[in-house]
Amino acid sequence: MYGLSRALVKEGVETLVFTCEFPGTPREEIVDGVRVFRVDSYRAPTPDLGTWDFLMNQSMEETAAEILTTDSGRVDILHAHEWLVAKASIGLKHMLRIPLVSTIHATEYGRRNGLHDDNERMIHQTEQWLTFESWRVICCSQYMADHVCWLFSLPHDKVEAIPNGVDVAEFVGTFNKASFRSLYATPNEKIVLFVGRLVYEKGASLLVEAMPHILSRVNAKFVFVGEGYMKDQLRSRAQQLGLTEKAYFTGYVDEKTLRQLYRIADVCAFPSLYEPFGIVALEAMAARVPTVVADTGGLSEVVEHDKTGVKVYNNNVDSLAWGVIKVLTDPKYADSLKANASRKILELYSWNQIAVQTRKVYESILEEYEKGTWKPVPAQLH
Amino acid sequence: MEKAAIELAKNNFRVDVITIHEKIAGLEKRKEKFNVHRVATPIQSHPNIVTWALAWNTEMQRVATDIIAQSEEDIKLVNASEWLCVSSAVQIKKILGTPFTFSLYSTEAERSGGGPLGDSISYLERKGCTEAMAVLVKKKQTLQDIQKSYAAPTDHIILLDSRSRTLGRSLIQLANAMKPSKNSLVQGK
Repeated sequence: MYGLSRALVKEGVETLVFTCEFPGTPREEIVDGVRVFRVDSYRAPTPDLGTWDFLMNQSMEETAAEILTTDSGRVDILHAHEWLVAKASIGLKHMLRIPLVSTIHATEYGRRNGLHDDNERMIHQTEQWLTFESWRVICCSQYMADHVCWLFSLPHDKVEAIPNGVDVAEFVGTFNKASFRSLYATPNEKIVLFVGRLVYEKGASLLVEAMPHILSRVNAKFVFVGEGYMKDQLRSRAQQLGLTEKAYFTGYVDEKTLRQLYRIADVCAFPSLYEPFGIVALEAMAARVPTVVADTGGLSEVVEHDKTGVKVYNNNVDSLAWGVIKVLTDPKYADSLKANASRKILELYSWNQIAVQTRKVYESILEEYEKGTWKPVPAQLH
Repeated sequence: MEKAAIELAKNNFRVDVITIHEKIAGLEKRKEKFNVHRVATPIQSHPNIVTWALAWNTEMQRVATDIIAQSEEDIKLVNASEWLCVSSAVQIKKILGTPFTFSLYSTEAERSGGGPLGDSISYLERKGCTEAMAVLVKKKQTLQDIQKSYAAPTDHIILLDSRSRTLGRSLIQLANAMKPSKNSLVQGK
């Protein structure tokens, strides 16, 4: 959202962003040409996430209504990101009678490997409602586009695959690499970096299981960046394998530290079991780190095997170990992956590219909208 | 709500009632000369009644806007029945500028002992009381509750009775006091 909105402004698309309040941030500001409005969320305790979300949407819709019905606030298109803003977006769509586009980054069905309780079913049905009400649905990969078409019975011409982007400029700049590196590994240890939530679908457990095999060939330190319910379990497993000193679980790190970690890593490993896109692969490629990914979901589309990275079999410890060892023991191969990946990032995954594609979607929608009779009610401006 | 609609229609107001029905959706033209629009909630599974109500309200907004778009005259007044209809009434006011009255026959404090769900409902009741041009209640207890808990201005609260000050008559008086246009949009449960 941050990268896309700024790039859209550069493309000449006037952009207003309504988002949730955040401590220490102003209610209204302009960030690189983007008008940002932060709305009150519902602060009292709620029985569940769904209730909080719907009440937050109530507030968001009211705030947006006050802005969007003024002369300086009128917009031509609404763009919703995820089910979390479905109620507000759909309400505004119908009351303002302007088209709605939605982006679905991941589905509840995919995240939970099915639907198991009323909360999950509610989220799933909210996603379905949002895709039904949208003029177009944008997904971050063809894999997600196909998944969403199947899951919500959408016609294929309603869904567009537009990838996420990455800002390469965030991965340049000097810093004391040796000193920073020494916080994580000894000079003769290669660093294998995992970035992601420590949850089942991100596959960190596979990397832990692969550690003995990799270490039998290469002296390495495995750095796991992220939090999640599996953290203690992964730590315990590393201990059981006698590899406590070879696995460093950093927990949450700030953006600057994360970017520096990418830049000192010798290889990044993302063995996800379910991955709608895999922005971490883009970040690794932008930071010029060779990337080993599971051949699944969006990762499979982002990485070209033997060209911009290594693809390994999904949910396969031996294949994952093979891929990491291949990169760490063949420096020329690793260098070619880095160079190819870096070129591909600039060609296909810059935010400017993504904004151009997104703008084209808006334009095609507005062309269709202009031909129709569904138009704003005259009473809207007051 | 039905009696109020009949009373308004008898007094030559165009009345559109938007209400819930999970199975029968669409428009019904009543012989008493008012319209009933039945709307289903767009989401079937809910953790509780608050999410159900808020989702349903979004559909009510859609129907309300469609009515306004097809009508030849402005809709002058909305009545929201209970906290269940506050969400859409507030949005209609903010986007289309149409004021609303809020009929509140009991508060959540009277019904439950509080807790996160009850507080969510009270939040919507408070919103209805503060955003509405008038709050219509049936009991002194409710009147006292909303004065105390929701800081509703006393001159905004109308205490109904079953004889001279019915919901229908009160809505007629309020609508007539606004301007000559005779349309009203009534939301109910």
